[in-house]
Parts: sequence; structure tokens; C-alpha cells
Amino acid sequence: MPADVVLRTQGLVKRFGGLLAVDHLDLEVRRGEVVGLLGPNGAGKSTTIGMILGLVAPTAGRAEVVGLDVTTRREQALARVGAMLEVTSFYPYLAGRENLMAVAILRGGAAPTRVDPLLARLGLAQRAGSRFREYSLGMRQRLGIASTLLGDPAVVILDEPANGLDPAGQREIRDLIRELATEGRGVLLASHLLHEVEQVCDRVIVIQKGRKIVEGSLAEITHGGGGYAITIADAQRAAEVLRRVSGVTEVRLTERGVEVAAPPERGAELNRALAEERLFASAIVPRRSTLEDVFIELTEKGANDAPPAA
Amino acid sequence: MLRPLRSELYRMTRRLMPRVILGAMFGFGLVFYELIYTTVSQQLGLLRSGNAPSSVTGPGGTEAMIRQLEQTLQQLAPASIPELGVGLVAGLGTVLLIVYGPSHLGTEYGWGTLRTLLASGLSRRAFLATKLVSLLLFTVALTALGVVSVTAASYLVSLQAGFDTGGLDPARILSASWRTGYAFLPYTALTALIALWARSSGAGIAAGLVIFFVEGLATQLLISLNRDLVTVANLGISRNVASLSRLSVSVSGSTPESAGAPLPDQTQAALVLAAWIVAFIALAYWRLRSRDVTLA
Ligand SMILES: Nc1ncnc2c1ncn2[C@@H]1O[C@H](COP(=O)(O)OP(=O)(O)OP(=O)(O)O)[C@@H](O)[C@H]1O
Ligand SMILES: [Mg+2]
Repeated sequence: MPADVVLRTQGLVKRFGGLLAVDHLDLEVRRGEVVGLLGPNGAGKSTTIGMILGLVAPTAGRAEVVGLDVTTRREQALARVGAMLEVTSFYPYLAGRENLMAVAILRGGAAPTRVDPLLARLGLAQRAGSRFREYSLGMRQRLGIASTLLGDPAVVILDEPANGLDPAGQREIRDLIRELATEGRGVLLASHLLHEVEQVCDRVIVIQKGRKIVEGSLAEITHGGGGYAITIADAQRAAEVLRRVSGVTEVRLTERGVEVAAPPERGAELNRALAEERLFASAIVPRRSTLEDVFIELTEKGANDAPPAA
Repeated sequence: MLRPLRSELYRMTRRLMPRVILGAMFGFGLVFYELIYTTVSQQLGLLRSGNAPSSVTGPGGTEAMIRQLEQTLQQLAPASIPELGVGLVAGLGTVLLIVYGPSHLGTEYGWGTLRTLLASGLSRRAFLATKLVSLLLFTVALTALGVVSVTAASYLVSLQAGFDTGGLDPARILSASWRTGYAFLPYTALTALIALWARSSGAGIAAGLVIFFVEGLATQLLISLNRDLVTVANLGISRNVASLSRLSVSVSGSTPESAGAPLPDQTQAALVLAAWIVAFIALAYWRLRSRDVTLA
């Protein structure tokens, strides 16, 4: 394992009876890197996280944290992990601060001294004395995120952390996640909020029905991103002209004109080519293909495959 | 092992329920003594003044009845704490622990906090060990508080009634408390196991109460059907618990009986109960170990 890989799974498999929830999943997170784990509902994201944390016994394969196998050396391995699960669960009768303290005592070391700074960092200082049962959904999420940092982890695992946060809160969490990476931690972020993933992740892994269907940097996955939507009267002729422009990989007719797939910064070139043929576009709008497009395209394709039931 | 226990105690001492249970034990001890005293002395007053309705007088006439009630009152004196007082703690404590034991484990499932604890690096083994040790500490506290409460109640009532407050025998109280506390453990372990198995405190409490009452009845029925079946009944929990809680061995020297058959001797009882406790804990560990912790 290269020194900077802090989290790795190899051939991870989980079967629930006849259901194959995770199917030979390999993933890696390096220090200072934010990796998005994407997939539709039921894809196996939370199950994967459960196996990394030793909550769920893998049917096959292994997971390791900073080189320590989470099955055989669970305690040492998990000492370096902070994890927030998809439903944030704390003791309802304890105050927010007491809940963090209970986890900090369990973790030992300097963890208790981090309780108050973390409450402040997550914007909970004002409400630290309120009972968890009185917390709003967003406050619960914040407490969950705070608890992941009590042990000064090398790996932070977040299962849909933005769930229930208002837009300002979502941005705060995105900034926080970037900060964590800057501090040299590796972050695994499971989500289906593509917007969130797009803004914070260095790399994404898309899984479906437990299987990895694509992995790469955002640029790689979105193919460098996009093209142009051109509104024009004689779409047929325009399409012929545009196909000859260098860099254009695809041309499609639409209701109001054509859509071309092309690298960014080709707008002027397209405009010139059309003008030379005395074709005048009323609008040339750049369209960046987003992760969302790719995600929906990929997962819809996959959804028609045979189910992976055993 | 120490960090998980410290965390557990941090949480436990801030929870309302353990305090309510301990408070109930303390309060009931006091109230019960006072209740016996007022009702019995009231009846006694009626009998002595000759105003008692005839239905109250039993066989042997008023004189015998008066003697019987006077004996009952004497039981409230400190000299009888090992029998009446600790017996009261035993009865009430069992029911309170059948409520608290399952809640001590089941709430971790209900609140989803088991996942939080395990995800924070706690091992399943340490989780269970911590739960059992803290439950044991709670049982010790409950027993001690109960005994303190009945002792205080006995003195209060004795002062009120002008009984002899001498004759307190700390050694016998201690021995009785010790056996009573031990006899709590099998039911506590069983109900905690059920709560863990069903992942619910409610299930543990309900099943615990049913088992507690039905097992006692069933063993009595078994013995009344065929006295030889007492060997089978003696392998259960209830007759061994009864044997440990009985103090008449040291008092009268005769073998105590229940349902017309002699109870197992106390060493045998302690061993059989130990076997049950170990079995319940082993089962709980096996179940916890072999089960995935998910939202399901
Ligand atoms: N304890 C369990 N028993 C049986 N099946 C389970 C269990 N836990 C999860 N599954 C199944 O495993 C599959 C993956 O579930 P998982 O929770 O990992 O999905 P997910 O990607 O986290 O989905 P979501 O985005 O909805 O949170 C689902 O089909 C789910 O029904
Ligand atoms: Mg999930």
C-alpha cells in the first residue's frame, strides 16, 4: 500500500440472503483527497461504509485503514477513522455537548479536549447545552460531523452529511470537507447530492447494485464537459457545417436548432464556421455536461440490466 | 475496558430512568413498612376494643388473632430485617430489574446509538462487557439502597410503636443481602439477553415479566403433578432463587419447602444459577457477534 493511501477496500462483497448488496468493490482514498461515493438509492453505499467500520461482516474481501485490516485489527484501525452514519444517532436525554463527551471518553486520549472547539467549529456552541432530542435535523447532522473529528482521524467517512442542512449549512459543510482534506485527512463522502459532490470531490466512484460502474476525476467522468446548444433556423445545413469543425465530436438536431458536443472555448470557432456559410445563429449557449447528466445516463443504463440477485 | 465503562457510567448517571428505579426502591421500602404498621395496628386496635367485625376474627377466636397480629408487628422490628426487609427488597428488586435490565441494553438499539458506539471503535465484546458490568454495579446499588431503606423504615416504625430497637444483626443482614443480590442476576441476565436478541427493551421487559411469573407457577404445577419432577424443577431459576432468598435455614434449622417439596440447598442453587447466568451471557455474545449492525 503506498504510504499516502489511508483507506482501501479490496474485492469487498456483501450478500444479504439472496441480495447482492456490494459486489467486488475496490476503492482507495489517499490523504488530502476527497472521494465521492455515488449511487442511486440501494446501490450499496451505506453497506460499504458499514463494512469499512466493521458493523457489517463482509461476505468476501477486505478493508483497511492506514494499512490496518478492519476485521483483524479493528480497534487500532478504527482509532484512525471518524465516521458519520446515514442516520445520526445520539442519546436523546443528553445535551449535545454531553453526547460528544460520551464519545470522547470512549475514544480517550486528547478527545475530551476537542469537544468544545468542535462544537464551536460546527456552529453548535450556542446550543451545546440543549438535549439532543430537542435538536433540529440540521443540528443533529452537525453534531454527527463534529463527532467524527473527536479522534483526530486520518480518514473521515461521511454518509450523506448534507441531509437536512439548509443551503448555507450545506456550503459550510462543503467548506469544512475541503478543510479536512487540506489538513491531510482522506475523506470518503457518500451522497446522491450531485451538486455537493461536484463541488468538493477530487474523485468520484459511481456504484450501482453494488458494482462500480465508473471511477475517475470529475473531468474524466464528464468527458471534459459539454458543448453548445445553438438556436438556428436551418438546422439541417448547420449540422452539416458543424460536423466539419475540428474538435466537434457529436452533432444532434433539436427542436430549435442543434446541439454539439465540443470542448469548451470552441464557441467562436463554431460561430465563424456557420457565418462563412451565411448561416446565422440567434443564440450559442455553452452547456457543461454535469455529473448529474453522466450519473443519470450511467445509472439508467445500468437499471435495465438484469438484477444482481443470486 | 476502562474507557468504555467510564463512558457508560457518564451516560448512565445522567439518565433519568436509573434514578427513578433507585428512587422507587428506596421509597417503596419506607412506604411498605409504614403501610403494614398502620393497617395491622388499626386492626389490632379494633380487636382489642371489641369493635372488630366478626369476619375479621379467625379460628381460635379473638385472642389468637390478636397474638398473630402482634407477631406480625414484631416482624417490623430491626431484629427481623433479614427476613421481612430483605425479602421485600428481593421481591421488588426483581421486578424493577426486569424493567431496567432490558432497557439498559434495548435502548441502544432503539436510539440507534449502538451503531454510533461501534462506529467510534468500540468492539462488540467491550460493548457487552461494559453493559454487563454496569448492570452489575446497578444491581449492587439497588440492593444496597433497598436494604438501607428497609433498615431506616424498620427503625422509624419501631420508634413510632415503641418496639425494641436492639437485636439488629448486621452480619445476617449482609449475608441475606448478598444472597438476594446474587439471586437478581439470572433474571437480569435473561431479560437483557432477550432485549438484545429482539433489539428492543419492550420485548425484554414483556418476556421477562411473563417468564418470571409463569416459571414459578409452572414449577409448582409440575411438582404437584408428580413429586419426582422436583429434580427437573430444581434445574430452573425460580426454585433456586427461592432457596437463596430463604433465610429460615439458619433460623429454624429445617429444610425450607416450596410447593410441598424441599428447595435445593443454597450451594446447589448458587451453582445452578451461575450456570444459567453464564449461558445467557454466552448466548448474548454469540448473537451480538454474529449479527450485522445496520438500520434494518
Ligand atoms: N440488514 C439488511 N438486510 C437485508 N438487506 C439489506 C440490509 N441492509 C441493506 N440491505 C440492502 O442492501 C442494499 C444496499 O443498501 P444500502 O443501504 O447500502 O444502500 P445505499 O446506497 O446506502 O442507499 P441510500 O442512498 O438509499 O442510502 C439495498 O438493497 C438494501 O435493501
Ligand atoms: Mg445509504
